[in-house]
Amino acid sequence: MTLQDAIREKEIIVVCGAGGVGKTTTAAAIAVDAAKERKTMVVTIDPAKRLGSALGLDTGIGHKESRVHLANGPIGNGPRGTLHAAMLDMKTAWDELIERYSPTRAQAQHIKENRIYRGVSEQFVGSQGYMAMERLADLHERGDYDLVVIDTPPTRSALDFLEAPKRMTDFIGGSLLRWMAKPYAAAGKIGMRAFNFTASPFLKIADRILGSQVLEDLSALVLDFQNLYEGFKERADQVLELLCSEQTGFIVVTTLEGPPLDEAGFFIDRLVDEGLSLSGVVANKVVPLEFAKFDPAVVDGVDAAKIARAAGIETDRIAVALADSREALATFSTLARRDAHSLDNLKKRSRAPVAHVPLLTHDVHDLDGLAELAGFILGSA
Amino acid sequence: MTPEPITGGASRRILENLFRRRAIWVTGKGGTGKSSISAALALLSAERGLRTLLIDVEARGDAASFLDAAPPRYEAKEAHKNLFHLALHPEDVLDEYLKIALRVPRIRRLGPIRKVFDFIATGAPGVKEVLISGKVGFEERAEMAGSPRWDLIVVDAAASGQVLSHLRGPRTIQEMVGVGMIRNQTAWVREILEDPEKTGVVVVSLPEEMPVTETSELLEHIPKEVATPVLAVIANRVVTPPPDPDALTALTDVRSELGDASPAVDAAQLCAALAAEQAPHLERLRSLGPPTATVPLIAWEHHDLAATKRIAEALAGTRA
Repeated sequence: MTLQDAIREKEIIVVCGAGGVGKTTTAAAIAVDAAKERKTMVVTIDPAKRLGSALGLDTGIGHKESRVHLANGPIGNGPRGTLHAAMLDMKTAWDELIERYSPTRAQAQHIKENRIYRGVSEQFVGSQGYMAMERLADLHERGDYDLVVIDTPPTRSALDFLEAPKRMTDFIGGSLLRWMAKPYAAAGKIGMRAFNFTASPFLKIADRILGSQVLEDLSALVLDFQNLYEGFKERADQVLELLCSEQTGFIVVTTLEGPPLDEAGFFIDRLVDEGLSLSGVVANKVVPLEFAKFDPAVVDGVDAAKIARAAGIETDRIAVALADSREALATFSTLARRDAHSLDNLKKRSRAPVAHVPLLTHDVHDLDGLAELAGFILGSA
Repeated sequence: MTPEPITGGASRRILENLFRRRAIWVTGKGGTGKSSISAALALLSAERGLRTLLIDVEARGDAASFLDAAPPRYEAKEAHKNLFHLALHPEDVLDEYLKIALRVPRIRRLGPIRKVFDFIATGAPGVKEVLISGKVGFEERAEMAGSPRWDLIVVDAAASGQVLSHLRGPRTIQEMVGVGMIRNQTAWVREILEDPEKTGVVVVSLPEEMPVTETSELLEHIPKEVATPVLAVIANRVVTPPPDPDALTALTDVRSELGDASPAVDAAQLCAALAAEQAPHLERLRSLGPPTATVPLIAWEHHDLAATKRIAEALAGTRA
């Protein structure tokens, strides 16, 4: 089975992996190919400038969905296929979310003015992951697209976004928070001191360390969030359900070296454990595997003088070129052995198809490049 | 356009400049190899006889795997002569902070106080970050028998997207917290972190579009946010172009005469193509300002100490 077969029935594809392995390009390539037949949307986090431009995502476009015109490209539009692209803008995403779940406009405004909220909306752990999933659910729900391909943010761990919805609701609805916010709620007036610090030894310590201003801001935020909690919780449950459904396929992207590969293996196991649908694994930047079988020592037997006569240049220069070639072969045969071994391991570990993309000697930054890449990824090349 | 050869001199000046600090924060976009470079820098420092601490800011301990060692928790362990390492678990750091700064007894550190702090550390911006930078500052200040415990601390720091929030952690706290104990405590952390004589940043990059762009953005942002200087940019996995391109072309033309050895020419051509692709990006990287060191593409099968030693040799310029 090729990766193309594995994703044919999917309505959502989540592309994940460690930072710097080529997730964004992979997501874009899959989307470009799918757009031949289906109404496709690709959401990227932080595309390279030229790639972003190719998708109509120039800086400053923010959250907007842009139509990508394929008509002049080599792929062409199928009878009903279209391609749209959008970037995830964290600040807009947060503000939209707050507006959606706030019972009143005044409440939304109050939250948006909170100093901690302003910090949280950019820095909150895993919030990028949460927003990516939120956007995904939103797009899916609207039903404008047959397929949504989503790139995941570079996080400390590629798994963060899976836990993001839960972490978000825990954060907003935790009993601890409610307990902390109680004195404020009882006082019932905005601007009143949030905590009765003498009452709780724990808060006394917190107060000593952080000072009361922070605790007041924090409790004001907690209190505001209380009203949003139900909406958030319901949404997070929906998002999780969507991720776990058969409609959603995960694609793990990796390179075949050290840390990113370890993380990919961990991720594959984890997806399986969680009962999520692993549609495929994409190994990027694979050196030509045929180099694995060559021993650089074969170069030592070459008669430089003879070759120099055939080539019509000085023996010294041929000797230099030969020595350089020997070193290049030593490098690539070692890398090819490593990559072949890693690929085998990935194949053993994943029941889903494992595709590999050769090390390319050019950046992929236009639709032609994406189409070429799609050939390798989807198994049609 | 031809990159300079990898000379020991250029790298040595950069290394001298790094090793006279107390702490260097090694960052870079994901996938650029910052953990292996951190391990190699720490190894070089230890080989010079400097008592070195390698800190992994992430519990996963990628840098530790390049020293053939499991990431230790809590207490620094000696992996090799003069080379200690430590992987940071935020909860351990929090625990240590509560113990040292507040003298909260262990039993209460496990109870509701802990929950309150876990919450604050997750929710309030800057708190988690300042725990990381505070720990580095704490080790930087630590003394043993009247002299500094560490000559050099190498931090395998967060990726370039997050490293600034660590470096500016103390500032974030100070902006947010007007009074309180943490304000005073962050003052000295900030003093160490932003003392250009004591602390510096090293950015690891690749000669490819995105890593160079991210490096450029980081270099632009750092001086706006903190006083910590960027001491060097390290271009990793640089492919050396053929020394005599015309000779390679001539050799390629008679490829069939080479018999079994002909794949070597294909490998050399692949190198030439990669080097040509890298050249403009490398050029851009070098034009960004900070001194640039290059580490060639090194083929290693396993990420282990042997690989780290080769990277260290390349960094020190002992491998031409």
